[in-house]
Amino acid sequence: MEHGGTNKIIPAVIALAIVIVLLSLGQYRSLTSGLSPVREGFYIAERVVTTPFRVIHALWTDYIALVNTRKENKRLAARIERLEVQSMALQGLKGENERLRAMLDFRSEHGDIKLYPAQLLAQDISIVFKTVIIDRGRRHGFFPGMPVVSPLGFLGRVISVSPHTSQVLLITDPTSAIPAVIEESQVKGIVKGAGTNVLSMEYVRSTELVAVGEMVVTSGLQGRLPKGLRIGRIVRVEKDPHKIFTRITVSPSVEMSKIEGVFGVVFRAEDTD
Amino acid sequence: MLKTQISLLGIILLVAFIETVLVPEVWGTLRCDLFLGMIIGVIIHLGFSQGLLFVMVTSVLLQAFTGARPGLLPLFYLFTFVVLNIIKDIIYLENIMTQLMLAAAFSALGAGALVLFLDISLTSRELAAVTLGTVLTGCASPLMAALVGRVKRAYEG
Repeated sequence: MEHGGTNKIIPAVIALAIVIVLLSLGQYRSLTSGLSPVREGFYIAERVVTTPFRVIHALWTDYIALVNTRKENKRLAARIERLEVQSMALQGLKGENERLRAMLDFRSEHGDIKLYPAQLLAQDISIVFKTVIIDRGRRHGFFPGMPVVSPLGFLGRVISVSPHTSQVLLITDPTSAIPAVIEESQVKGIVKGAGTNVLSMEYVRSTELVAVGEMVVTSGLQGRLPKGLRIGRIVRVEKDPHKIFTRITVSPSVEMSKIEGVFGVVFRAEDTD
Repeated sequence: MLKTQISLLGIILLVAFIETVLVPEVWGTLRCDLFLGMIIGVIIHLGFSQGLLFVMVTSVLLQAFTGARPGLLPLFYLFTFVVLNIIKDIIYLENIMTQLMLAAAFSALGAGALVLFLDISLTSRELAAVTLGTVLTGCASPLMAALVGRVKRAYEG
C-alpha cells in the first residue's frame, strides 16, 4: 500500500514541478507557439464536425435575410430616389431664391434707374465672340445700345433686338469698349474685351497710381451707360517705363459663363419713349 | 430638292439649339460645331450647286447666333465648303475617319485663325475647351454627314 502511494507521489510531484515551471515561464508567450500543431489539429477536427451544420445554418438564415434584404433594398432605393428629387427641387428653389433676392437688392440699390428683367436664352455659337441672347426684345422695352446688368455688375449692351429677343454684346467680347473709372483713384480709361474671361483697361497713363484689387466701374461718360456700375477688379498691373500707358488686366465682376437673370437698364427719360 | 433644303434648315435650328444652349449648359466655354459635319454631308450627298446654296443660306442664318462681324461666318463656312469640294477628288470623303479628321482640322483652323487675327491669348482652361470642342466637332461630323444623307434619300431617293 505504502509502495503504491510512493509511485503516485513521484508522478504528482513531477506534474506539479512542470506546472510551476510553466507558470513561471508564462510571461514568455512565444514559447506557446510550440503548441501550434496541437491547436491546428483541434481546429481541423472541429471544422470537419461542425461545417455541415454551419452550411445548413448559413443557407437558412442568409436566404431568409436575402429575401428580406431585397425587399428592404427596393424600398430604400425608391425612398432615396424620392429624396434626391426633393433635394434637387429644394436646391433649385434655394438657388432661385438667392438669385431673386440678389436681383431685388440690385433693384433697391439702383432706384433711380429703370430695370427691365430678362433671362438668358442662348450663348454665342463661337467661343471667341462673347454675345448672349436674352428672352426680352423690342416689345418689352429693349433697344439697341441699352445697357444690360446682372446683380453682380455690368454685363454689356444690346446690339440688336427682335420683338421677343435681344442680342447682348458682353464686355468680354473683343469688340467691346466701355468708358470706365477706377473707383478709389478716379483714374479714367477704356475697358476692352479680350475674347477671353478677362478684360483690359487701356489708356491709363503710367504716371497714375493703380493697385491690384481696386474696383473698376462705369464712368458714365457714354450716353446711355449709368455711372458706377461694377465692371470688375484689377488683377494685374504692368508698367513699362518705355510706354505711355499702363497695361491693366481686370477680372469681370460677373462670371460670364454663369449668367442667368439680367436687367436691361434705362436711366435717361428719353430712352423710355 | 426644296423639301431636302427645308428639312436641312430645320435640322440647322436643332443644331443651333444644341450649339448655343445645350453645349454651353454643360460647360460655359465649350463649343461644338455640328455644321461642319453637315457641310461634309452636303458635299457628298447634294452636290455643288445645292450644297453651295444651303451653306450660304445656313451660314447667314447662323450669323444670328454670334457677335462675329457680319459675313465672317459665311466666309469661313464657304471657304470650308470650297476647299472640301476641291479636295474631295483627291481624298475619299465618304470615309468616316476622313470626315472626322477634316472636321476637326477645319474647326481648329477656324478657332486658330480667330485667335490669331483678334490677338487673343487663351487661358489654359479656354485652350482645353477649344481642344475638347475640336475633338467633339470631329466626332460629331460623321453623324451629321450621315444625317444629311438620310434626309436626301428620304426625299429624293
